[in-house]
Amino acid sequence: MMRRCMLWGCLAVAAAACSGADRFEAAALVDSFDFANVKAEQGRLRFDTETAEGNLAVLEHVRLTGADTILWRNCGGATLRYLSAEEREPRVVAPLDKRRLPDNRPVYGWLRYYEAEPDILRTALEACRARGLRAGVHWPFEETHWASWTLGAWNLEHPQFWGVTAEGKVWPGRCSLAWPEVVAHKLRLADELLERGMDHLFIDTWRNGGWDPRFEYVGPEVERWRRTFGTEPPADAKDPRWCAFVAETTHAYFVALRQRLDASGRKVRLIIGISGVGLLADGPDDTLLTRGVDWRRLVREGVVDAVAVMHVKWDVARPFDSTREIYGGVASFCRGRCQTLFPVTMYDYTKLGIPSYQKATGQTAPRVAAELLQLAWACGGDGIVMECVDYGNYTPETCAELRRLLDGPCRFKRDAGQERLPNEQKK
Amino acid sequence: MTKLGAGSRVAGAAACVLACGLAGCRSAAEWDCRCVSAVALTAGAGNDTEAAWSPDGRRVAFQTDRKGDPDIAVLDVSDGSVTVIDGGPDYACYPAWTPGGGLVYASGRQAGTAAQTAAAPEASGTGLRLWTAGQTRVLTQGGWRDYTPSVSPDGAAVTYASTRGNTGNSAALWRLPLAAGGEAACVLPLDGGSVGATQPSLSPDGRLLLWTQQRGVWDNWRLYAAPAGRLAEGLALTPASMSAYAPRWSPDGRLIAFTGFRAGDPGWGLYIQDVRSGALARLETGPGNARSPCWSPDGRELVFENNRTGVYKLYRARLRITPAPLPPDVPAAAAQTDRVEARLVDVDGGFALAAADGARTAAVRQEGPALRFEAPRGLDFGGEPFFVRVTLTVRRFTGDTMIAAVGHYDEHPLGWQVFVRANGTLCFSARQADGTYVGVESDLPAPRGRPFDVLGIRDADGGIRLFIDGVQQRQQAAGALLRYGPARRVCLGQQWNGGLRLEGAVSAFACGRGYPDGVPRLMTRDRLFGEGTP
Repeated sequence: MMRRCMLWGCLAVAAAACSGADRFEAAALVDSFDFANVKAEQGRLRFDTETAEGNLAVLEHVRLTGADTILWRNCGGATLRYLSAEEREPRVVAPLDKRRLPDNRPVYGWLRYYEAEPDILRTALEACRARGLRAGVHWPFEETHWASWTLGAWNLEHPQFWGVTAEGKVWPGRCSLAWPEVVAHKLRLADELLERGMDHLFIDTWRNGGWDPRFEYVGPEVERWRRTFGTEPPADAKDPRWCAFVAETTHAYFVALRQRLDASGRKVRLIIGISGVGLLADGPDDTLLTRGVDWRRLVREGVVDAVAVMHVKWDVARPFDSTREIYGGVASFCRGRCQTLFPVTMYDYTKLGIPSYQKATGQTAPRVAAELLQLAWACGGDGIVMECVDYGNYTPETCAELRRLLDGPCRFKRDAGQERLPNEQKK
Repeated sequence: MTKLGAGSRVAGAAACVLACGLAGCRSAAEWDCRCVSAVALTAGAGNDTEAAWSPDGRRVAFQTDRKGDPDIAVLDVSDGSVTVIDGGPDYACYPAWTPGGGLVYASGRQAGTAAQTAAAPEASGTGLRLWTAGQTRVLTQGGWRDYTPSVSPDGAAVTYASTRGNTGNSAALWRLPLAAGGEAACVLPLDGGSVGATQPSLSPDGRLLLWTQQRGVWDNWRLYAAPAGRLAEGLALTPASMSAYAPRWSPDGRLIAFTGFRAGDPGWGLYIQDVRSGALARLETGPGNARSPCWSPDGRELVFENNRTGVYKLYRARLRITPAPLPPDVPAAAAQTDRVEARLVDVDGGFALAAADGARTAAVRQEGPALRFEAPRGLDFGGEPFFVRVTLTVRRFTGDTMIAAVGHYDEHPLGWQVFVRANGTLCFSARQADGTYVGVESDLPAPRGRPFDVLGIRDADGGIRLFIDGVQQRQQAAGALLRYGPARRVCLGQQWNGGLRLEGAVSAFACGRGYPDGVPRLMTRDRLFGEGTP
């Protein structure tokens, strides 16, 4: 079957090349932080990620996967990875703000990307463009809402905008998008990214840092509920009505962000990352209930340019078949509305990544990666997304297999009208 | 020593009286505390913060970043002149007075990138310095961070936050005798993710230690106090719903001033708490954030920092505080029940859970040595404290989670658990009211090949503690307030659904309400602050 697949793939490459079809994309999520403590010989650190040279070395390592879209993490631990004017005060270096508990891990706890020069993010984006790669930013939703294990500087100074639970408990550092001041702050941060040359903005809703609609019982949101329904909001934050209500606020934020990107005068692609995706007809949507984000509405209304599926809830009894069904559902929903990227991820925190497929199928990592990439291609996806391309996370064998497919049979996107692969015709 | 320019001088009497909104200088309804005037003590560029009033009342030490990085300066209260006492290239912060007029403060720097620091970490740490009459002595220095010091009322020792030996986002409390040759010692070990204590200070009579603590990512900073020699018995002074830090004792030890924020507040503000009653009052200080209050030696005034001008400057305010409300007349709480409700017993070659009343629930054998007990009695803990004690032996780590014991409830199928993580550490977990996981992890991986004792505690305030072979682990967590109804089942050696089997054996198990012998229980305000205590 594999041989037949390759044959059809070669034919597809030839046909696509003749018709000038788009390249099938390979996006990589890159966090310099994850490279910061990689040891080389004699215990020396392989990458000094606070320098331009160190980040260029990171980029070369990431390119081994065949990635042609590099999405650099703009923040982490509630600190920005560049010289931000918006987040300069209070000082975030430990222990100068006693409200921040210091990170004590060797190397990690001493990184200061927020004051490294030259500007780490600007350097990384420029390096990507110079190499003909798509240059983008990975902005996790936890930092969209700020905070991680430590707290964002702006948020620390503005507790009046923090999230509040139904019981009236404030949650430090998490600001609510229901406050216009918070949205304005986020948009100023987006401006800083635009100014640094970001062409692609990937907002990852999976990394929510523990935030969910239970922290949205803030003044403006509660008042809006009262005005809308004439009642008190439900105390159960998992009430689908409350989640949908909160999603209106996050939706408004995404719309505002879209407008801000458009106002820059450049075409900046907005990608939303969603997780825990199952068959679309099955039950309530995970992203809506746990992240308060209605991604399908964002797609329907054309707010986002692409959906990156970060992991899917495949069935351990039929790993690839169930994956195909889910990919197919998402691709079908998004077709004609926006692009779709599907996961080929070694990251297995969710037990839904390549290592878990290996466990379920007995196949090697390169083989699983190849299967997933081909599924993404065959289902009409626009590309793949590789989460956490940390050092050595994708073995040389896996990288070679990915490159073989990305440079060969899956080089170009499958046309919607293109004949299906033989193994698809049987389905 | 460097004198700052005239622009930095603000004579006290001539200082502008700020629009404190005098008519609106009011406090929370429950208790009448007011600041009746507020005048600027410092002006000019940069932030002036972390004020500390000298014991003789003549000077206020603070940190200032008007030249860039933070330096330590001292303001003469009588004429407003400012003298920089540490203005070097290193940052200097968190000044604290000694009774004799010296200053202890934190000083440090990080030279180069993290990769460069890794090669010589001791050169980049933050240590404590003692400044006395122009001479500076290094008290501590290493590849860690020592900060927020305070000096004991008798001047014998300094207590401070330190990350020495810690591995997570964390800080512990340490104590260093100021006599030459004194050895630093950890007095409140805490470590883990977003778990830590900072800003310790001894009460004026030296009996109690006050500090601020965070117990996990969902927890607010809260004020804690405990008998100085028994910090494991800390009492949370502020509610879990508010964020509170930077506490300072009033000179008479009856009040605490601190920085706080409650839902609905306009920003960070100054709060006063009466320690006996727990009554709270928020001081109205006008526009901007108000933070880090410190008391005048006579207890009639506060100095604090406020950013109404765009940068933080120091302000001085007189206080009018009415007698604090009486402690609430709380009916005597029912005596805490400490009782083992379920204990693993050997019965005719099989196993059962023996309830407190002697009733037994027979084990249902699972694959391997795992056991399941259907509907065991007595494990309906509601919101009360409870404990889970397991003696187990781990043969090997599987690279996956392994369950030693799990309580399955209607409220959550993983109501509480004792388990071995993929990385080998032991965990005890319970649940928030909405079912969210709350857990703590052992300091080190579980020993292999020998039996050891694991004790998990869920306190009535939702705190989670873990003891391994009788030693309290450094991680803590908060918010585990699930109310437990009757248990549906208890499983030993595997998950309730049969997965995640333990590569090893559970040789003893007990679960009950309250506390087993020898475990410090939650302190009460009455015990801590009542007459003649502790």
